[in-house]
Formats: sequence, structure tokens, C-alpha cells
Amino acid sequence: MLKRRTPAPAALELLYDLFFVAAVVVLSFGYSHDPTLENLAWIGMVFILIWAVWVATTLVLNLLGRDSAVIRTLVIGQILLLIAAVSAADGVYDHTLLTGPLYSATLLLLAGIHWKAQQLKPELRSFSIIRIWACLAAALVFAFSPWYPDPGYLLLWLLGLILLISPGLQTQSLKGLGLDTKKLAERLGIFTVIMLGESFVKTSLTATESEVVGLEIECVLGTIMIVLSIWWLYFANVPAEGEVTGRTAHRFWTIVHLPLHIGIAGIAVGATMAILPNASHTDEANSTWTLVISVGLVFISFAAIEFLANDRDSRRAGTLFLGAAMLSGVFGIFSAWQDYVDSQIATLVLAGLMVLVVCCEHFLRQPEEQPKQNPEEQPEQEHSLS
Amino acid sequence: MTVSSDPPPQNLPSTVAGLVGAPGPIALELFYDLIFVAAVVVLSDSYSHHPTAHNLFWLISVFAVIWLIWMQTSLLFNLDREQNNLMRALVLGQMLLIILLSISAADDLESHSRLVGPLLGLTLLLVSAMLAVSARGNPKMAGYTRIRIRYFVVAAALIACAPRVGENAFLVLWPLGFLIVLAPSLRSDPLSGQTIKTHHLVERFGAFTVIMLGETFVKTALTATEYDMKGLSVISLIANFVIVFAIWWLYFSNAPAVGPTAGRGGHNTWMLTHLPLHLSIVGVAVGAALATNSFGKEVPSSAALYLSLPLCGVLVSMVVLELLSGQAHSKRVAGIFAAACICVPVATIATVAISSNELRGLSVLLAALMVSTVIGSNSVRSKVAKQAEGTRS
Repeated sequence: MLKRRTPAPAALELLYDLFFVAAVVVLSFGYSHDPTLENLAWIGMVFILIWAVWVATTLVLNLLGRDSAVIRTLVIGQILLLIAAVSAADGVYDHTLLTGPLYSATLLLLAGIHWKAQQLKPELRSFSIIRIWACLAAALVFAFSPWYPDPGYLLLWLLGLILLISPGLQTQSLKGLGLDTKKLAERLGIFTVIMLGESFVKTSLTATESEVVGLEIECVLGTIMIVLSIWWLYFANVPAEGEVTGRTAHRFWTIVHLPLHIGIAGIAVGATMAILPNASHTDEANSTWTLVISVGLVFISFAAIEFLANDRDSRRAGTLFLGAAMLSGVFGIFSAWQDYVDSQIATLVLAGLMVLVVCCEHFLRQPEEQPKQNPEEQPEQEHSLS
Repeated sequence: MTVSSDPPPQNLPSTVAGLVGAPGPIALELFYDLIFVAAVVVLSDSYSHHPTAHNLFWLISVFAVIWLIWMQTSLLFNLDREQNNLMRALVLGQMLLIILLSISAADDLESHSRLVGPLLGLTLLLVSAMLAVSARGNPKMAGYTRIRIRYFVVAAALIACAPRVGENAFLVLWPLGFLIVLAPSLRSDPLSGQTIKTHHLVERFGAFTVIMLGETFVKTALTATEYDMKGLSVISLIANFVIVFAIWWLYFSNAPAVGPTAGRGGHNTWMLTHLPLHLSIVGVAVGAALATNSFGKEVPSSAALYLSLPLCGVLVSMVVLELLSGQAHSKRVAGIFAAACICVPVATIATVAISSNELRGLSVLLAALMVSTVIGSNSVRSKVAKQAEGTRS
């Protein structure tokens, strides 16, 4: 007899991740079509806000480690509010009247999740109470942001963000609270792969705005190669490293995903500009620098993660990534010196660099012995949606 | 953000990470699913901007073929869990081709569809190459792969040649290619002695479904960003979210937990039922995007069909999945889905009669109907579960 009459937690988690990444992609379209510094500040801030809520929710659900109808409802409510907030977010100077209060309501729901979590698991009391206060204080700041003049509300949002993440800056140990590091690494891995997938959506949707013959098809191919290379580099090592690092390093490991995800979103935006420069109202300089900085950010994030592992192979891989980041920067400067090379060439050069790094990294590492597993046990490990 | 822990007691690879040095199967499968769904979003976006019957048929054809390619690759992943670098490279190549063909197919039938046939043919050849690699690494797979390689090569040739034969040749040659690809699965021993991992299969279809539902939001929200908020219907946006969420609930409260239980025929029917289900979810996305942007605009009364017809498709697919599960409450729950399916056209006619150019009312009514369906099916399931517990105690 079937006992469960509601969807499994993993199905909700996957939907939750998809909606959050989708929100980021949707927001990035605004910047792609109007790449100004104000819009960059706007998209950067909203991205960090969304990411912070995602990490906070993922962490508390990880620590709780059990399902509850109330928490499920609060998570669904968070998704709904996020949709409304994203739909309201037309740009840096428009509709901030709605976005701030909607984000504030999202934080209230997060506070509700913390409240319920500490009720269900009393060990989480000290962890959750401080975060509930932080959420309430930040929610208050965001709720009042519409009364602040445009675009100065971004400063108020920054204050709200600092309030929100402040409990994370204390050196409280989560030892004994039951953090499932494997699960956390898995969630971040899934979030990353969804980000990569959505960058395809963004690039392809931009490409469909024109006929295939009118497209910079080399840019499309170059972008696909860059994204596939990031996927390979990430999953070849990062989730496994996340499981073995220590307490302090683990926090850093999680936070390094923020620049990594920003870099991935940036590559999608840069590719959009390169593929259809006319639709983006931009020039070669904008698309080249967006791509160069994003690729550099991705490499630096990978290098940081590698240096965390602190073994011989990781140090070598980290150095390789840092070298690649420097090379991409050198290419950006060279391109600027040449009065900016064609976007097609820039995308292909960066794609070539990425592929080269994948090949070097693959041959750099010593093959590692994997613990023997019984093949029959494999399906049990993969339990999630059902 | 505090994320801290002591190192875990044992250094086992996670399901996402797999082996250090190469991405694991779960990461590859999830990425693969995302690319396919991205292709579907691109195709549906094209239809949203040029909603003609001709384009609809063209896009359904492309969708059906890429869906079949996804299913065949998923089955291969299911039967052979060993993945080497060559296999990964072939999968990545397949993903590259799918993205290119979706961009090309989105240009519509009149322009550049001539590239889609050869790209689909090439993708099928890559699937054949994957089967060959699998057979080389795992001799037990030889029986399963041999017949499929032959069939897939023939189907690839037919599909690739369609643009050379004539503009509308795809109407005949593609369905033929589709049936040829499907043919080995319809034999009396479709897996040639291999055992399907039902749990993994159910997981893959579940993941694909939830990604499809997530992309519905991408599509709706992207369409919404084309206009200022004041030009949008927030009520429709919320109602459409409720509809998508209700579909998610209905699917995941039963289908992945039960899966195909009725033997070979049941397996095939269960898998193939997902084709209309996924196609209908894409349709719901198209309808939802239209409804969200319809506020204050002149919309033809036929636009209501974009939302109601796909919803009927979803409910009919749910009826089939429910009946296939063969549980004590299946017939009653399927009855609820069927009743909801009948109510959808009634609601559509009623709202169109009241206000022919307003889709907000229809969105709200359909959302209410879907929520009622969720509540009804859940109460039936819980009632049956309680009865069973009472009998046991």
C-alpha cells in the first residue's frame, strides 16, 4: 500500500531550485537588452538577494532533515512571492514599489520556516532564533524601501542584505545540528547544473530572435563549448571536494558558489550580447568585457575551491585555473588595445581557452581509486523524487 | 551564511559528484534533461510568436522526435550505468546538436527547416554510436543494442532525407522514422534479456517532468518581461502558477511513487503516456504566457483554447497513468481526473460566453478547478489509505 499521498521532498526541492534559477535568468534578460552600469548594479543586487534566500532556505531544510506540511506550504509560498517579485522587477527605475515589499514577504516566510524548524527540532533553537530576528529586521528594511528615492533604495537593500547574512558571519559551529554535507553539496551541484542549463535557454532564445543565417553561429557554438566546459570542470571535482572539506572551509566552499553562479549568468548575458548585438543595444567592448570578466570569475571560483582541498593535485589544478583567469584578462586587454576584436573571435578564443583548461586539468590529475560499491546498492543511493 | 560541519566519517562520492576526475551519471543526466527541456522552451517560444496550425504541426513533429531520442538515451542510461569518457563525449555532442536543431526549428517551416531533418538524423546516429559503445564495454548489452543500431540508422536516413524529398515530406517520413525507432521496444522481448531499473526510470521521467514544469515559469515570466507590469495580468500570473503547481502535485503525489507496474506493455504505455503529458505541459506554458499578457488587449475568443486544450491533455494523461498504477483507489482518482477534464471545456465555454476577449477569468476558473482536483484526489487517496490501515489493525 502506498503511504505517501503528497509529492516527495526531493520533487519540491528540484522545483524550488528550478524556479530560483529561472528567476535569475528572467532578471538577466533586462540587463542583456539594456546593459548600463545602473542595471548591472540592480541585477547584481537582486541576484545576491535571491541567492541568499536560496542558500538560507536550503541550509535550514538540510539541518531539519525532515518533511512537514507547514514547511512545504511556506516553501511554496516563497516560490509564489518570488515569481511576483521577478515579474514586478522591470528594471532599476521601475516598479521598485512592489519588489521590495514582495522580497520582504519572502523573508517573513523564511523566518516562518526557521520558526517551524526549531519547533520540530529543538536542537536548532539557537541557530534559528537569531536568524528569525535577522529575517524580521531585514524584512522591515525591504518593506520600507519603496519610500526611498530611486535608485538610492539599493543602499537600503544592501543594509537589508547585511542584516540577513549577519548571523552567518558568527563562528557558531553546526557540529551536532546534523548538517548533511553530502546533501548540501548535491543541492549546490543541482543548482549549478540548472544555472548552466538555463544559460542554454537564454542563449538559444536570443538566437531564435533572428534566423539561423543571420546569426553569429560561431558565437552560439563558442558559448555552448564554454558552458559544457564549465559543467565538466565543476562536476569533475567540486561536489566531491565539498564533501571532504572541514568546518570553516565548508562555509567558504558554499560562498564561493556565489561568484561562480554570477560568472555563469554573466557568460549567458555576454553570449546574448555577442550573438545579437543589435537587439542588446550594445557594442563589441561590452560583450567582450562581460564574457572576459565572467570567464575569469568562473576560473577564480574554481581555483578557490581547488586551493581549499589543499592536496598536491588540487594545488596544481588551482594554479592552472588562476593561470587561465589571467590569460582571459590578458585577452581582454589585448582586445581593448586592438580596439576590440569581433565578438565571434572573442567567444571562440574564450571557448578554446576553456576546452584547453579541461584537457589540461583532466591529464593533470592522478586517477583516484574509487571505493568499491555493490552495483545493486546504486539505485538505493539515487532515491530522491519518489 | 554559516555553513560548517566536521568532515564526514567516510569519503564516499555523492550521487552528483560520482568519480573524482569525471562528472558522475546523475550530473550528466540532469544536464541532459535540462538541455532537452531548453530546446522545448525555444520551440514553444517560436510558436507563441507565430501561432499558426502549420507551425503547430511542425513543432509537435520536432518535439515528438526529440522526445523519442531523449527516451531512448534514458533507457540506455538505465540499462547500462557505466559511462566512460567516449560515452560522455557522445552525450555532449547530442546536446550540442539538439540546441542547434531547436534554434533552427524555431525559424519555422518555411525557413531553415531543411537543416532540422539532417540534424535530427545526426542525433539519431549519435544515439546509435552510444549503443555501440555500450555494447563494446558491456557484452551483455549486445542483444539489446544490435537491433536498435540497425533500426536507428534506417530511421536517421529517413528523417535526414525528408527535406530533400519535398517541403512536406516530413509529414510522412518523420512518423515513419518515429515508428522505426520505436519498433524494437514493441517486440515480445524488447530488452533482450536486460532488466530495466524501474526506480531509475521513474526518477528520470519525474525529473524531466518537473524540469518541464519549471520551464513553464521561465516561459511565462520571460513573456511577462516583454511588457511593463501594468500591461500584465497579475491575477492570471498567479492563477497560472497555481495551475502549474497543481499539475506538479497531481503527478508527484502518485506517478513517481508507483511507476509502471503492469509488466512489459505497462512499461511501454507508461513511458509513452509521458509524451502527450509533456507536450500538454508545453501547451499550458504557451497558454499561460498568452493569458498573462492578455490584460487590456483584444484577444480572439479562440485564444481560450490555448489554455484549456493542453490542460485537458494533461488530465487525460494523468487518467492513463493513474489507471496503469493499478492501485485500490486508482479508478476513483482517475474518475476525478476525467470529471475535471470534462469540466475544462465547460468552464472555457462559460467564460468565453461571458467575456470573449478576457482570459483572466478563465485562468482563475481553471486554477480553481485544478485545486479542487488536487483536493478531491488527495481525499480519496487518504480515505483509501485509512481504510487499509483500519483493515490491517
